[in-house]
Amino acid sequence: MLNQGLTTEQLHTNIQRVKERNPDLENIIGSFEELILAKNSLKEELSSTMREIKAPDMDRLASGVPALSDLDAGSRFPEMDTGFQRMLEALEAGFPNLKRETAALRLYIKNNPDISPKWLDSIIFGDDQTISDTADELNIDMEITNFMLEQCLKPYLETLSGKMSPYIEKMRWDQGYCPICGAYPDTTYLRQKQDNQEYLRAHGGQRWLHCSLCSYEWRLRRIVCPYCGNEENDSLEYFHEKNNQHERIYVCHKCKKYITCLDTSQLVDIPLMDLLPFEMLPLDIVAQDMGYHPIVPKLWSKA
Amino acid sequence: MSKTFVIDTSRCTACRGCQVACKEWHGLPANETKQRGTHQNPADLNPYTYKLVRFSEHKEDGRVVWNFFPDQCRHCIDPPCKFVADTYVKDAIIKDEATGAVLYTDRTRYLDSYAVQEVVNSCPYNIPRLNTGTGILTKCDMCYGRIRNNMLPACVKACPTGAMNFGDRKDMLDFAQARLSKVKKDHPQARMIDADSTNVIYIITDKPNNYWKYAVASASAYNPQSRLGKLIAERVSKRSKRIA
Repeated sequence: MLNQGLTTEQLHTNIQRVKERNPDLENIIGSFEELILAKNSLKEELSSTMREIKAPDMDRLASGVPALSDLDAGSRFPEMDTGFQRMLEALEAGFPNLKRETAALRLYIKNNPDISPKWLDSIIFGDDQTISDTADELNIDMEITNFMLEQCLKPYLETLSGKMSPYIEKMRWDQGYCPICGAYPDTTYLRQKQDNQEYLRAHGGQRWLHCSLCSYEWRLRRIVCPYCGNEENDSLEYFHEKNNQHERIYVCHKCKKYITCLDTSQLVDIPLMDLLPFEMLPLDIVAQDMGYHPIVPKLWSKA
Repeated sequence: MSKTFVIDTSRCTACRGCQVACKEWHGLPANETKQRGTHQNPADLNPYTYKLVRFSEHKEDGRVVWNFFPDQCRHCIDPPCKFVADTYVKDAIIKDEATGAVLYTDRTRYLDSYAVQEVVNSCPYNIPRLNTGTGILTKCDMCYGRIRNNMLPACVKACPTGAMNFGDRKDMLDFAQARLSKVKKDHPQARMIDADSTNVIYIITDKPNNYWKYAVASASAYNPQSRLGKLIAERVSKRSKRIA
Protein backbone atom coordinates (compact mmCIF):
# COMPACT_ATOMS: atom_id res chain seq x y z
CA MET A 1 0.00 0.00 0.00
CA LEU A 2 1.59 3.18 -1.22
CA ASN A 3 0.23 5.56 1.42
CA GLN A 4 0.46 3.23 4.39
CA GLY A 5 1.65 4.83 7.62
CA LEU A 6 1.18 8.41 6.42
CA THR A 7 0.96 10.75 9.43
CA THR A 8 -1.65 13.53 9.56
CA GLU A 9 1.13 16.07 8.99
CA GLN A 10 2.40 14.22 5.93
CA LEU A 11 -1.17 13.97 4.69
CA HIS A 12 -1.57 17.76 4.97
CA THR A 13 1.73 18.36 3.15
CA ASN A 14 0.76 15.95 0.39
CA ILE A 15 -2.66 17.53 -0.10
CA GLN A 16 -1.03 20.95 -0.38
CA ARG A 17 1.47 19.64 -2.93
CA VAL A 18 -1.31 18.12 -5.04
CA LYS A 19 -3.09 21.48 -4.94
CA GLU A 20 0.06 23.34 -6.00
CA ARG A 21 0.66 20.94 -8.85
CA ASN A 22 -2.91 21.17 -10.07
CA PRO A 23 -4.18 24.72 -9.66
CA ASP A 24 -7.03 23.92 -12.06
CA LEU A 25 -8.31 21.21 -9.75
CA GLU A 26 -8.20 23.29 -6.58
CA ASN A 27 -12.00 23.30 -6.23
CA ILE A 28 -12.53 19.58 -6.48
CA ILE A 29 -9.51 18.78 -4.29
CA GLY A 30 -10.66 21.38 -1.74
CA SER A 31 -14.07 19.69 -1.60
CA PHE A 32 -12.59 16.28 -0.86
CA GLU A 33 -9.94 17.55 1.57
CA GLU A 34 -12.34 17.64 4.55
CA LEU A 35 -13.56 14.14 3.75
CA ILE A 36 -10.02 12.75 3.53
CA LEU A 37 -8.99 14.30 6.86
CA ALA A 38 -12.19 13.17 8.59
CA LYS A 39 -11.77 9.70 7.15
CA ASN A 40 -8.24 9.46 8.43
CA SER A 41 -9.04 10.50 11.98
CA LEU A 42 -12.06 8.16 12.10
CA LYS A 43 -10.02 5.26 10.75
CA GLU A 44 -7.51 5.62 13.59
CA GLU A 45 -10.34 5.21 16.12
CA LEU A 46 -12.06 2.41 14.24
CA SER A 47 -9.01 0.18 14.05
CA SER A 48 -8.96 -0.05 17.85
CA THR A 49 -12.72 -0.30 18.48
CA MET A 50 -13.55 -2.69 15.64
CA ARG A 51 -14.61 -6.23 16.54
CA GLU A 52 -12.20 -8.97 15.46
CA ILE A 53 -12.76 -10.55 12.07
CA LYS A 54 -12.15 -14.15 11.17
CA ALA A 55 -9.57 -15.17 8.58
CA PRO A 56 -11.02 -15.51 5.08
CA ASP A 57 -11.64 -18.93 3.55
CA MET A 58 -8.46 -19.35 1.50
CA ASP A 59 -10.00 -21.95 -0.84
CA ARG A 60 -12.83 -19.63 -1.74
CA LEU A 61 -10.38 -16.77 -2.19
CA ALA A 62 -8.23 -18.89 -4.47
CA SER A 63 -11.26 -19.52 -6.65
CA GLY A 64 -11.85 -15.78 -6.99
CA VAL A 65 -14.39 -14.98 -4.26
CA PRO A 66 -13.54 -11.68 -2.52
CA ALA A 67 -12.79 -11.93 1.21
CA LEU A 68 -15.63 -9.74 2.48
CA SER A 69 -18.27 -11.87 0.72
CA ASP A 70 -18.38 -14.20 3.71
CA LEU A 71 -18.43 -11.51 6.39
CA ASP A 72 -21.34 -9.57 7.84
CA ALA A 73 -19.21 -6.43 7.74
CA GLY A 74 -21.87 -4.15 9.22
CA SER A 75 -21.87 -5.93 12.56
CA ARG A 76 -18.13 -5.40 13.06
CA PHE A 77 -18.47 -1.76 14.09
CA PRO A 78 -20.18 -0.79 17.36
CA GLU A 79 -21.94 2.60 17.32
CA MET A 80 -21.52 3.13 13.61
CA ASP A 81 -23.94 6.04 13.55
CA THR A 82 -21.64 8.43 15.44
CA GLY A 83 -18.84 8.05 12.94
CA PHE A 84 -21.30 8.21 10.07
CA GLN A 85 -22.60 11.55 11.35
CA ARG A 86 -19.02 12.88 11.51
CA MET A 87 -18.45 11.94 7.91
CA LEU A 88 -21.73 13.63 6.96
CA GLU A 89 -20.48 16.84 8.58
CA ALA A 90 -17.26 16.66 6.55
CA LEU A 91 -19.30 15.97 3.43
CA GLU A 92 -21.46 19.00 4.07
CA ALA A 93 -18.39 21.19 4.70
CA GLY A 94 -16.79 20.12 1.42
CA PHE A 95 -20.01 20.10 -0.60
CA PRO A 96 -22.23 22.93 0.67
CA ASN A 97 -24.60 22.33 -2.26
CA LEU A 98 -25.55 18.99 -0.77
CA LYS A 99 -26.87 20.63 2.39
CA ARG A 100 -30.46 19.46 1.88
CA GLU A 101 -29.35 15.90 1.09
CA THR A 102 -26.96 15.60 4.04
CA ALA A 103 -29.61 16.97 6.40
CA ALA A 104 -32.12 14.41 5.09
CA LEU A 105 -29.63 11.57 5.52
CA ARG A 106 -28.76 12.72 9.03
CA LEU A 107 -32.43 12.70 10.04
CA TYR A 108 -32.92 9.32 8.40
CA ILE A 109 -30.14 7.76 10.48
CA LYS A 110 -31.58 9.28 13.64
CA ASN A 111 -34.96 7.67 12.92
CA ASN A 112 -33.45 4.35 11.74
CA PRO A 113 -30.58 3.61 14.14
CA ASP A 114 -29.68 0.25 12.55
CA ILE A 115 -29.52 1.42 8.98
CA SER A 116 -25.82 2.27 8.61
CA PRO A 117 -24.55 -1.33 9.06
CA LYS A 118 -27.12 -2.36 6.45
CA TRP A 119 -25.84 0.25 4.04
CA LEU A 120 -22.29 -0.97 4.55
CA ASP A 121 -23.33 -4.50 3.60
CA SER A 122 -25.33 -3.20 0.62
CA ILE A 123 -22.36 -1.25 -0.71
CA ILE A 124 -20.07 -4.27 -0.37
CA PHE A 125 -22.52 -6.69 -2.00
CA GLY A 126 -23.55 -4.20 -4.69
CA ASP A 127 -27.16 -4.47 -3.44
CA ASP A 128 -28.61 -1.51 -5.31
CA GLN A 129 -32.15 -2.17 -4.07
CA THR A 130 -31.51 -1.02 -0.49
CA ILE A 131 -29.76 2.12 -1.72
CA SER A 132 -32.43 2.84 -4.28
CA ASP A 133 -35.11 2.41 -1.56
CA THR A 134 -33.23 4.93 0.59
CA ALA A 135 -32.95 7.33 -2.34
CA ASP A 136 -36.69 7.05 -3.08
CA GLU A 137 -37.63 7.51 0.54
CA LEU A 138 -35.46 10.61 0.88
CA ASN A 139 -36.33 11.89 -2.58
CA ILE A 140 -32.65 12.19 -3.50
CA ASP A 141 -31.12 11.25 -6.83
CA MET A 142 -29.85 7.64 -6.77
CA GLU A 143 -26.34 8.59 -7.92
CA ILE A 144 -26.00 11.26 -5.27
CA THR A 145 -27.25 8.88 -2.58
CA ASN A 146 -24.71 6.33 -3.70
CA PHE A 147 -21.93 8.92 -3.70
CA MET A 148 -22.81 10.16 -0.20
CA LEU A 149 -23.07 6.66 1.27
CA GLU A 150 -19.82 5.58 -0.36
CA GLN A 151 -17.95 8.61 0.96
CA CYS A 152 -19.35 8.21 4.49
CA LEU A 153 -18.64 4.48 4.54
CA LYS A 154 -15.06 4.79 3.22
CA PRO A 155 -13.43 4.79 6.68
CA TYR A 156 -15.23 1.55 7.53
CA LEU A 157 -14.39 -0.08 4.23
CA GLU A 158 -10.75 0.92 4.49
CA THR A 159 -10.51 -0.30 8.10
CA LEU A 160 -11.92 -3.65 6.99
CA SER A 161 -9.48 -3.88 4.09
CA GLY A 162 -6.60 -2.92 6.40
CA LYS A 163 -7.51 -5.79 8.76
CA MET A 164 -8.02 -8.24 5.92
CA SER A 165 -4.92 -7.33 3.90
CA PRO A 166 -2.36 -9.42 5.88
CA TYR A 167 -4.22 -12.57 4.77
CA ILE A 168 -4.47 -11.49 1.15
CA GLU A 169 -0.90 -10.29 0.70
CA LYS A 170 0.40 -13.83 1.10
CA MET A 171 -1.61 -15.20 -1.79
CA ARG A 172 -1.70 -14.77 -5.54
CA TRP A 173 -4.67 -12.84 -6.93
CA ASP A 174 -5.04 -12.73 -10.69
CA GLN A 175 -8.33 -10.87 -10.99
CA GLY A 176 -9.07 -7.33 -12.08
CA TYR A 177 -11.49 -6.85 -9.16
CA CYS A 178 -10.52 -6.29 -5.54
CA PRO A 179 -9.67 -9.43 -3.53
CA ILE A 180 -11.23 -7.85 -0.46
CA CYS A 181 -14.47 -6.17 -1.49
CA GLY A 182 -14.85 -7.23 -5.11
CA ALA A 183 -15.05 -3.70 -6.58
CA TYR A 184 -13.15 -2.67 -9.70
CA PRO A 185 -10.16 -0.31 -9.56
CA ASP A 186 -10.52 3.43 -10.13
CA THR A 187 -6.88 3.96 -11.07
CA THR A 188 -3.56 2.14 -11.26
CA TYR A 189 0.11 2.92 -10.80
CA LEU A 190 3.46 1.42 -11.75
CA ARG A 191 6.01 0.96 -9.01
CA GLN A 192 9.64 -0.04 -9.20
CA LYS A 193 10.72 -2.89 -7.01
CA GLN A 194 12.86 -1.28 -4.27
CA ASP A 195 15.19 -4.00 -3.10
CA ASN A 196 18.43 -2.04 -3.22
CA GLN A 197 19.94 -4.63 -5.49
CA GLU A 198 23.60 -4.44 -6.36
CA TYR A 199 23.14 -4.70 -10.12
CA LEU A 200 21.59 -2.45 -12.74
CA ARG A 201 18.04 -1.31 -12.20
CA ALA A 202 15.34 -1.93 -14.74
CA HIS A 203 13.32 1.14 -15.64
CA GLY A 204 10.01 -0.72 -15.75
CA GLY A 205 7.64 -1.30 -12.90
CA GLN A 206 4.96 -3.56 -11.52
CA ARG A 207 1.35 -2.54 -12.03
CA TRP A 208 -0.72 -1.98 -8.90
CA LEU A 209 -4.49 -1.50 -8.94
CA HIS A 210 -6.26 0.79 -6.48
CA CYS A 211 -9.73 -0.37 -5.38
CA SER A 212 -12.40 2.26 -6.00
CA LEU A 213 -14.31 1.20 -2.89
CA CYS A 214 -12.04 -0.06 -0.08
CA SER A 215 -8.76 1.47 -1.38
CA TYR A 216 -6.89 -1.85 -1.21
CA GLU A 217 -4.05 -2.13 -3.68
CA TRP A 218 -3.11 -5.35 -5.45
CA ARG A 219 -0.67 -6.27 -8.16
CA LEU A 220 -1.85 -7.43 -11.57
CA ARG A 221 0.07 -8.30 -14.75
CA ARG A 222 0.42 -5.34 -17.08
CA ILE A 223 -0.71 -7.14 -20.20
CA VAL A 224 -4.27 -7.87 -19.16
CA CYS A 225 -7.42 -5.75 -19.17
CA PRO A 226 -8.59 -5.55 -15.53
CA TYR A 227 -12.22 -5.41 -16.68
CA CYS A 228 -12.65 -8.19 -19.26
CA GLY A 229 -9.44 -10.17 -18.75
CA ASN A 230 -8.41 -9.75 -22.41
CA GLU A 231 -4.74 -10.68 -22.87
CA GLU A 232 -4.33 -10.20 -26.63
CA ASN A 233 -1.60 -7.65 -27.04
CA ASP A 234 -2.89 -6.28 -30.34
CA SER A 235 -6.10 -5.15 -28.65
CA LEU A 236 -4.47 -3.58 -25.60
CA GLU A 237 -2.85 -0.19 -25.91
CA TYR A 238 -1.78 2.77 -23.86
CA PHE A 239 -1.60 6.47 -24.62
CA HIS A 240 0.24 9.36 -23.07
CA GLU A 241 0.91 13.00 -23.78
CA LYS A 242 4.15 13.60 -25.70
CA ASN A 243 5.91 15.38 -22.86
CA ASN A 244 4.21 13.62 -19.98
CA GLN A 245 5.00 9.96 -20.35
CA HIS A 246 4.33 8.99 -16.77
CA GLU A 247 0.57 9.68 -16.89
CA ARG A 248 -1.10 7.13 -19.13
CA ILE A 249 -4.43 5.76 -20.28
CA TYR A 250 -4.56 1.98 -20.74
CA VAL A 251 -7.38 0.96 -23.09
CA CYS A 252 -8.89 -2.34 -24.17
CA HIS A 253 -10.28 -2.44 -27.72
CA LYS A 254 -12.38 -5.48 -26.89
CA CYS A 255 -14.50 -4.11 -24.04
CA LYS A 256 -13.86 -0.44 -24.86
CA LYS A 257 -12.96 0.28 -21.23
CA TYR A 258 -10.01 2.35 -20.04
CA ILE A 259 -8.11 2.89 -16.83
CA THR A 260 -5.62 5.61 -15.94
CA CYS A 261 -2.10 4.73 -14.80
CA LEU A 262 0.68 6.70 -13.17
CA ASP A 263 4.30 5.58 -13.52
CA THR A 264 5.63 6.46 -10.06
CA SER A 265 9.19 5.40 -10.86
CA GLN A 266 9.77 8.79 -12.49
CA LEU A 267 8.27 10.89 -9.70
CA VAL A 268 9.75 12.75 -6.76
CA ASP A 269 6.75 12.42 -4.43
CA ILE A 270 4.59 9.32 -4.29
CA PRO A 271 0.96 10.12 -5.16
CA LEU A 272 -1.78 10.48 -2.60
CA MET A 273 -4.07 7.65 -3.65
CA ASP A 274 -7.21 9.42 -2.39
CA LEU A 275 -6.53 12.28 -4.79
CA LEU A 276 -4.88 10.45 -7.67
CA PRO A 277 -8.17 9.83 -9.56
CA PHE A 278 -8.69 13.62 -9.56
CA GLU A 279 -5.15 14.34 -10.73
CA MET A 280 -5.87 11.99 -13.62
CA LEU A 281 -9.11 13.76 -14.61
CA PRO A 282 -7.64 15.36 -17.76
CA LEU A 283 -6.85 11.86 -19.01
CA ASP A 284 -10.43 10.73 -18.28
CA ILE A 285 -11.69 13.47 -20.55
CA VAL A 286 -9.32 12.48 -23.36
CA ALA A 287 -10.14 8.76 -23.02
CA GLN A 288 -13.88 9.40 -23.09
CA ASP A 289 -13.51 11.70 -26.10
CA MET A 290 -11.77 8.79 -27.82
CA GLY A 291 -14.83 6.64 -27.20
CA TYR A 292 -13.71 4.57 -24.21
CA HIS A 293 -15.65 4.13 -20.97
CA PRO A 294 -14.34 4.21 -17.40
CA ILE A 295 -14.31 0.84 -15.63
CA VAL A 296 -15.85 2.50 -12.58
CA PRO A 297 -17.88 5.56 -13.58
CA LYS A 298 -17.81 8.16 -10.83
CA LEU A 299 -19.80 11.36 -10.55
CA TRP A 300 -16.69 13.39 -11.37
CA SER A 301 -15.18 11.20 -14.07
CA LYS A 302 -18.07 10.34 -16.34
CA ALA A 303 -19.13 12.35 -19.31
CA MET B 1 10.81 21.10 2.86
CA SER B 2 13.75 21.45 0.51
CA LYS B 3 14.79 18.70 -1.84
CA THR B 4 18.13 16.92 -1.68
CA PHE B 5 20.23 14.70 -3.92
CA VAL B 6 22.18 11.77 -2.56
CA ILE B 7 24.97 10.77 -4.94
CA ASP B 8 26.31 7.40 -3.91
CA THR B 9 29.62 7.12 -5.76
CA SER B 10 30.03 3.54 -4.53
CA ARG B 11 27.29 2.60 -7.01
CA CYS B 12 28.47 4.81 -9.85
CA THR B 13 29.80 2.90 -12.88
CA ALA B 14 30.62 6.11 -14.79
CA CYS B 15 28.18 5.31 -17.58
CA ARG B 16 27.61 9.07 -17.88
CA GLY B 17 23.88 8.54 -18.39
CA CYS B 18 23.30 11.45 -15.98
CA GLN B 19 25.60 13.73 -17.94
CA VAL B 20 23.87 12.94 -21.23
CA ALA B 21 20.37 13.14 -19.73
CA CYS B 22 21.20 16.59 -18.34
CA LYS B 23 22.36 17.80 -21.75
CA GLU B 24 19.29 16.29 -23.43
CA TRP B 25 16.80 17.81 -21.01
CA HIS B 26 18.35 21.28 -21.16
CA GLY B 27 18.80 21.08 -24.93
CA LEU B 28 22.51 21.88 -24.67
CA PRO B 29 24.68 21.61 -27.78
CA ALA B 30 27.64 19.24 -28.07
CA ASN B 31 31.18 20.30 -27.19
CA GLU B 32 34.08 19.74 -29.52
CA THR B 33 36.63 17.75 -27.55
CA LYS B 34 40.00 16.13 -28.03
CA GLN B 35 41.39 12.73 -27.09
CA ARG B 36 43.26 13.47 -23.88
CA GLY B 37 43.86 9.91 -22.73
CA THR B 38 40.91 9.91 -20.30
CA HIS B 39 37.25 8.99 -20.42
CA GLN B 40 36.44 12.31 -18.72
CA ASN B 41 34.83 14.18 -21.53
CA PRO B 42 34.59 17.14 -21.90
CA ALA B 43 37.60 18.11 -19.82
CA ASP B 44 35.65 20.33 -17.44
CA LEU B 45 32.24 21.83 -16.73
CA ASN B 46 31.34 24.48 -19.28
CA PRO B 47 28.29 26.53 -20.31
CA TYR B 48 26.97 23.50 -22.26
CA THR B 49 27.81 20.91 -19.59
CA TYR B 50 26.14 21.42 -16.21
CA LYS B 51 26.97 17.94 -15.03
CA LEU B 52 30.23 16.09 -15.55
CA VAL B 53 31.39 12.65 -14.45
CA ARG B 54 34.97 13.17 -13.35
CA PHE B 55 37.41 10.27 -13.67
CA SER B 56 40.35 10.06 -11.32
CA GLU B 57 42.90 7.30 -10.90
CA HIS B 58 45.72 6.75 -8.46
CA LYS B 59 47.81 3.87 -7.19
CA GLU B 60 47.24 2.32 -3.80
CA ASP B 61 49.38 -0.62 -2.60
CA GLY B 62 50.47 -1.22 -6.20
CA ARG B 63 46.85 -1.42 -7.34
CA VAL B 64 45.08 1.09 -9.56
CA VAL B 65 42.08 2.73 -7.95
CA TRP B 66 39.69 4.39 -10.37
CA ASN B 67 37.23 6.84 -8.85
CA PHE B 68 34.17 8.36 -10.47
CA PHE B 69 32.63 11.62 -9.34
CA PRO B 70 29.40 12.95 -10.93
CA ASP B 71 30.11 16.66 -10.35
CA GLN B 72 27.35 19.29 -10.23
CA CYS B 73 26.12 22.34 -8.31
CA ARG B 74 25.60 21.48 -4.63
CA HIS B 75 22.64 23.85 -4.16
CA CYS B 76 24.18 25.16 -0.92
CA ILE B 77 21.86 25.87 1.97
CA ASP B 78 23.57 29.28 2.33
CA PRO B 79 24.83 29.83 -1.22
CA PRO B 80 27.88 32.16 -1.27
CA CYS B 81 27.35 32.80 -5.01
CA LYS B 82 23.95 34.32 -4.25
CA PHE B 83 25.31 36.52 -1.45
CA VAL B 84 27.98 37.84 -3.79
CA ALA B 85 25.66 38.36 -6.75
CA ASP B 86 23.12 40.16 -4.54
CA THR B 87 25.71 42.84 -3.76
CA TYR B 88 25.91 43.66 -7.49
CA VAL B 89 22.58 42.77 -9.15
CA LYS B 90 19.54 41.86 -7.08
CA ASP B 91 17.88 38.57 -8.07
CA ALA B 92 20.57 37.67 -10.58
CA ILE B 93 20.82 34.52 -8.47
CA ILE B 94 17.80 33.35 -6.50
CA LYS B 95 17.13 30.56 -4.06
CA ASP B 96 13.77 28.81 -4.26
CA GLU B 97 12.74 28.17 -0.67
CA ALA B 98 10.26 25.39 -1.54
CA THR B 99 12.83 23.18 -3.26
CA GLY B 100 16.14 24.63 -2.04
CA ALA B 101 17.26 25.07 -5.67
CA VAL B 102 19.83 27.82 -6.29
CA LEU B 103 18.90 29.30 -9.66
CA TYR B 104 20.90 31.53 -11.99
CA THR B 105 18.50 33.83 -13.81
CA ASP B 106 18.84 35.76 -17.05
CA ARG B 107 19.67 38.78 -14.91
CA THR B 108 23.17 37.34 -14.39
CA ARG B 109 23.93 38.99 -17.75
CA TYR B 110 23.92 42.34 -15.92
CA LEU B 111 26.83 41.26 -13.74
CA ASP B 112 29.99 42.93 -15.02
CA SER B 113 33.15 40.93 -15.61
CA TYR B 114 34.52 41.77 -12.17
CA ALA B 115 31.30 40.65 -10.47
CA VAL B 116 31.19 37.45 -12.53
CA GLN B 117 34.71 36.64 -11.41
CA GLU B 118 33.76 37.26 -7.79
CA VAL B 119 30.70 34.97 -8.11
CA VAL B 120 32.77 32.22 -9.71
CA ASN B 121 35.48 32.58 -7.07
CA SER B 122 32.96 32.50 -4.25
CA CYS B 123 31.82 28.98 -5.13
CA PRO B 124 33.52 26.49 -2.80
CA TYR B 125 33.04 23.76 -5.43
CA ASN B 126 34.18 25.62 -8.57
CA ILE B 127 30.87 25.17 -10.41
CA PRO B 128 29.63 28.35 -12.17
CA ARG B 129 30.64 28.87 -15.81
CA LEU B 130 30.04 31.95 -17.95
CA ASN B 131 28.43 31.63 -21.34
CA THR B 132 30.46 34.30 -23.13
CA GLY B 133 27.97 34.38 -25.99
CA THR B 134 24.90 35.30 -23.94
CA GLY B 135 26.72 36.73 -20.92
CA ILE B 136 24.66 34.46 -18.64
CA LEU B 137 26.16 32.44 -15.81
CA THR B 138 25.28 28.76 -16.04
CA LYS B 139 25.10 25.67 -13.86
CA CYS B 140 22.74 22.86 -12.76
CA ASP B 141 19.20 24.16 -12.03
CA MET B 142 18.01 21.03 -10.18
CA CYS B 143 15.74 20.50 -13.22
CA TYR B 144 13.48 23.06 -11.60
CA GLY B 145 10.75 22.76 -14.23
CA ARG B 146 10.63 19.00 -13.80
CA ILE B 147 10.61 18.87 -10.01
CA ARG B 148 7.86 21.51 -9.77
CA ASN B 149 5.82 19.00 -11.75
CA ASN B 150 6.79 16.14 -9.46
CA MET B 151 9.18 14.60 -12.00
CA LEU B 152 12.64 13.43 -10.96
CA PRO B 153 15.60 15.49 -12.23
CA ALA B 154 16.79 14.15 -15.58
CA CYS B 155 20.09 12.83 -14.15
CA VAL B 156 18.30 10.87 -11.41
CA LYS B 157 15.75 9.44 -13.80
CA ALA B 158 18.48 8.25 -16.17
CA CYS B 159 20.75 6.64 -13.55
CA PRO B 160 20.63 2.86 -14.00
CA THR B 161 22.51 1.89 -10.85
CA GLY B 162 20.87 3.84 -8.04
CA ALA B 163 23.87 6.15 -7.61
CA MET B 164 21.68 9.22 -8.14
CA ASN B 165 18.83 9.68 -5.67
CA PHE B 166 16.48 12.58 -5.01
CA GLY B 167 13.71 13.43 -2.55
CA ASP B 168 12.68 15.40 0.54
CA ARG B 169 15.74 16.47 2.52
CA LYS B 170 14.75 14.59 5.66
CA ASP B 171 14.13 11.34 3.80
CA MET B 172 17.37 11.72 1.86
CA LEU B 173 19.40 12.32 5.04
CA ASP B 174 17.98 9.09 6.47
CA PHE B 175 18.63 7.29 3.21
CA ALA B 176 22.22 8.58 3.03
CA GLN B 177 22.90 7.51 6.62
CA ALA B 178 21.53 4.02 6.01
CA ARG B 179 23.45 3.68 2.78
CA LEU B 180 26.67 4.93 4.39
CA SER B 181 26.49 2.30 7.14
CA LYS B 182 26.18 -0.36 4.47
CA VAL B 183 28.99 1.00 2.29
CA LYS B 184 31.28 1.29 5.33
CA LYS B 185 31.30 -2.48 5.72
CA ASP B 186 33.30 -2.77 2.48
CA HIS B 187 34.95 0.65 2.57
CA PRO B 188 35.84 1.70 6.13
CA GLN B 189 36.97 5.12 4.83
CA ALA B 190 33.54 5.88 3.37
CA ARG B 191 32.03 9.21 4.36
CA MET B 192 29.42 11.79 3.45
CA ILE B 193 30.49 15.14 2.04
CA ASP B 194 29.16 18.45 3.41
CA ALA B 195 25.75 17.00 4.31
CA ASP B 196 24.98 19.89 6.69
CA SER B 197 25.65 22.71 4.30
CA THR B 198 24.48 21.51 0.88
CA ASN B 199 21.50 19.87 -0.79
CA VAL B 200 23.71 17.51 -2.77
CA ILE B 201 25.17 14.90 -0.48
CA TYR B 202 27.91 12.66 -1.83
CA ILE B 203 28.84 9.32 -0.37
CA ILE B 204 32.48 8.63 -1.21
CA THR B 205 34.59 5.59 -0.39
CA ASP B 206 38.05 7.14 -0.71
CA LYS B 207 39.78 10.37 0.40
CA PRO B 208 38.07 13.41 -1.21
CA ASN B 209 41.27 14.48 -2.95
CA ASN B 210 41.39 11.15 -4.74
CA TYR B 211 38.20 12.20 -6.55
CA TRP B 212 38.60 15.84 -7.41
CA LYS B 213 40.20 18.80 -5.67
CA TYR B 214 36.86 20.57 -5.22
CA ALA B 215 34.98 17.45 -4.06
CA VAL B 216 34.66 19.02 -0.59
CA ALA B 217 34.15 22.75 0.02
CA SER B 218 37.37 24.49 -0.74
CA ALA B 219 38.11 27.33 1.68
CA SER B 220 40.67 28.70 -0.74
CA ALA B 221 38.12 29.14 -3.52
CA TYR B 222 37.78 32.75 -2.42
CA ASN B 223 40.07 34.89 -0.33
CA PRO B 224 38.49 35.44 3.10
CA GLN B 225 40.75 38.46 3.64
CA SER B 226 39.47 40.31 0.58
CA ARG B 227 36.71 42.94 0.88
CA LEU B 228 34.29 40.45 -0.62
CA GLY B 229 35.52 37.56 1.47
CA LYS B 230 34.79 39.57 4.62
CA LEU B 231 31.38 40.52 3.26
CA ILE B 232 30.49 36.88 2.65
CA ALA B 233 31.74 35.85 6.08
CA GLU B 234 29.65 38.61 7.64
CA ARG B 235 26.51 37.59 5.77
CA VAL B 236 26.91 33.91 6.53
CA SER B 237 27.46 34.70 10.19
CA LYS B 238 24.36 36.94 10.30
CA ARG B 239 22.32 34.23 8.65
CA SER B 240 23.54 31.55 11.07
CA LYS B 241 22.66 33.78 14.01
CA ARG B 242 19.18 34.29 12.59
CA ILE B 243 18.70 30.54 12.19
CA ALA B 244 20.09 29.88 15.68
